Parts: sequence; C-alpha cells; structure tokens
Amino acid sequence: MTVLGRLVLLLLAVALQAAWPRALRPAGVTPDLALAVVLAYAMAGGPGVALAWATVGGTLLDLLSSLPAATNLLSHLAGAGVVTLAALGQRDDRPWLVLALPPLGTIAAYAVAGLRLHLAGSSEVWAAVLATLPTAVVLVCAALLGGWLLGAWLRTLRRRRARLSFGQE
Amino acid sequence: MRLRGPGRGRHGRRWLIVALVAAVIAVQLPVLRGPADALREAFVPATRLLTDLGRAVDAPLASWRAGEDLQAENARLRAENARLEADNARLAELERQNAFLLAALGFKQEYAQLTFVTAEVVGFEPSNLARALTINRGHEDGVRPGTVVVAPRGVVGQVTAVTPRSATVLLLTDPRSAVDARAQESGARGVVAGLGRPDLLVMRYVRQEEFLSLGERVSTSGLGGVFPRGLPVGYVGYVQRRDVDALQEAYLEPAVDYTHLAQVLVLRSDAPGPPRGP
Repeated sequence: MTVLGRLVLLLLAVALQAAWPRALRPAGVTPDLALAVVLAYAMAGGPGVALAWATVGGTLLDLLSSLPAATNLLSHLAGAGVVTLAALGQRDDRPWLVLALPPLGTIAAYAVAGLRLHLAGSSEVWAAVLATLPTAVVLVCAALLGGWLLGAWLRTLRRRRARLSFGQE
Repeated sequence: MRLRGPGRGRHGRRWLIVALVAAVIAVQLPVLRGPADALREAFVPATRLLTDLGRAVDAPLASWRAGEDLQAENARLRAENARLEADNARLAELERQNAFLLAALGFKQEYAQLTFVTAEVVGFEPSNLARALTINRGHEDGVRPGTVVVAPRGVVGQVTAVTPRSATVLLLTDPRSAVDARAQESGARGVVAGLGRPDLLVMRYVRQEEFLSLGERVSTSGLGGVFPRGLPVGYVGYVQRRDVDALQEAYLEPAVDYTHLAQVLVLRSDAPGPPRGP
C-alpha cells in the first residue's frame, strides 16, 4: 500500500472512531480503530515507520479529543514502540509472538495514556483504564483480524481478476 | 355473362326479406318448434366450445391486466410506504423533541431561577479514557468554559472548550470530573466523581457517621459556586463502609442516561446565583 493509501486508511479509522455509534459499543467501549491501524503499520514496517504513523495517528486523535494535550500522541507512540520492540525479538521458533503484539501494544498505549492523565491530576483514571482495557484489547485484536481478513480477500480478488485478464489476452 | 342470384339486385334483396320474414314466422310455429330446438341443441357443443375458448383466452388476458394493475398498485403502495416511513421517522423525532421540551419545561418550572438554552449533541469523545461530548452551541451563543450543562433529569457536565459555534462538555462520568454533592434524605455530604464508566459514579469523602440509604437521591450542594444547588446527580446504589476507614464511599447510578443524550440544556452564565433547592 502506498503512503497516501495508508494515510487515507488512517484518516478513515479516526473518522469512524469519532463517529462510532453509541449502540455499537461493547461494554461502553469504542473500538480504538486508529490505534489498530497504527499497530498494523508498526508490525508491518520498521521502527521509523511505526514512529511516523504513531505521530500522525496520535496527533489526529488529539485534535478531536478532550484529553489533555498529546495524550493520544504519547499513547500511540508507546503502543507502536512496544510492538516494534517486540517484533524485533520475533524469530521462526516463536511464531506466537505476532499474536501477542496487538494486546501488548494496546496495554502499553492505555498505560501511557493513564499515566499522562494521572500526571495531569486525574487520580480516578486508573479505574477507567482497568474498566475499559480488557474490552479495548479484544476490540483492537478484532479490528486487526478483520482488517487482515479484508486485505486477504481483496488480494485474492485482485489476483483472480489479473488471472482472468491474462487468460483473455 | 353475369348471373342474377338471390343476393344480388333488387330481386335478390326482395327474396332475402321474404326468407327472413318466413324464417321468423316459421320459428314461431309450434309445428316447427321441435326441429328448431333440435337445431339449437346441435349448436350447444359448438357454442360451449367457443365459450370455453373465449374463457381460455380471457383468463390470461384478465390475469395480464390484473398483473399490470397489481404492479401499478404495488408501485403506488411502495411509494406510499416510503412516504409513511419518512412520516413515521419524522413523527418519532418530533415525539422525542416534544418529550425533551416537556421535560425541559418541567425543569424550567422546577428551577425557575435558571435561564438556559437548548443544544443538540453533535459528537462524542473518540477516546475511551475520557467522557465528553460536543454540542452545537458555542461562543456566539454565550457559552463559556465552565458553563454548566444539564438535562431535565440532572447534571450532564461542564463546558471545557468553546469554539464560535460548538463546545466540548466534560461529562460527570469522566474521571476528571468532580462535584460537591449532598444526599437528599440523610443530608450526607461528599464529592461525586466520574469513574470513566457511563453507568457509575462514586461519592467520596462521606463521613462515617452518615447513613446513606439505597436509592437515595444525591444532588449538587451548590458549594464552589459552579453547579447550582439541588440539581440531581444520581441515586445511591451501593455503599462501601468499613469500620477501619475514616470515611465511606457510595457508588451512584447517574441520574442522566449519558449513552442516549441527544439534547441538553446549557445554563446561561448570566443566570443569578445558586437557586433555592427543591
């Protein structure tokens, strides 16, 4: 995917997250679609790519959020950073590590956001973190799985179309 | 050479008239009634066949016509259905608005000292660690940071950021929110804070000597001068009281359903001081 395509996908994720219907929030938790997209980019690219997309995603969310300045930025940077570090330790004999990356990234992102809010004077934030984190982790994993399946389906369609057009020629 | 038959010329016409008159008379004669009936009987299978044939042709034609009519009727009914659905949606929206305005009127009568403007909720906070919403009233409508926002059922929150035509309202359920409150029956005082959950508030710093009862209404105390006194905050759902603690805590069910907020009331900043509690 091109850089422009990735940016459009991230913008779409931010917009969807901001307009997510109240009725479709499991346990009152909005899916962190922007974080899921940033984690996906971080897993696919290197540290530089992760840093860049985390900055873009976090800044976009900060523009729409009522949280203290740079909370989402720091949160996304932490999530992408942890995912990148964990991905560096991935080897062929540890294929399961890739499954642990999204939960690790989400936990890191929420922990840093909680710390940022705590430092801003909100001591009650840890209750909110603990209440929302399990559902948030599940939703990020589900979003990544859904995105991966959608990508695989689109690739298959493209391959089939290419094969058909080759056959016609 | 042309032959003159009975059907041609003046003589022909005369013969034809004579024959017709004779036939009419003959049919009336009782003597000839038997052969006439026999002839009529002989025609019955033919007429039946023709009638059946006519019906056979008629049935598909009628069906085709009925189909056309049904299609037209179907299209008309679909259009009617779409119009009724639109009307229904509009009426449901009007009903919702009416219910809100009735509730707002009740609120206005109960808190006559307060002046407010209605606002529509146009957005929600995208982050899970904050509970906030965006309303369609801003600086141009007299909304300022710190302005109190309520619903007919109780306190919604406080404005934290304002643009010319919109404002961000930090909900009472946000972990950063806190309001001084008082229980209606026991008179217990405490600070109600959000826990980041839409269905739960906590009332902290309640003295051990106070006895909160379940279901007791908790309202704003008016202390601090931000929230007017007597606005409903929530209802006591659970009390955590341990002898070793100096203070007790109560968990409240919010008075306002924060997940279904569509319209709110923004208290005008030019309102007079804290009103008399209900």
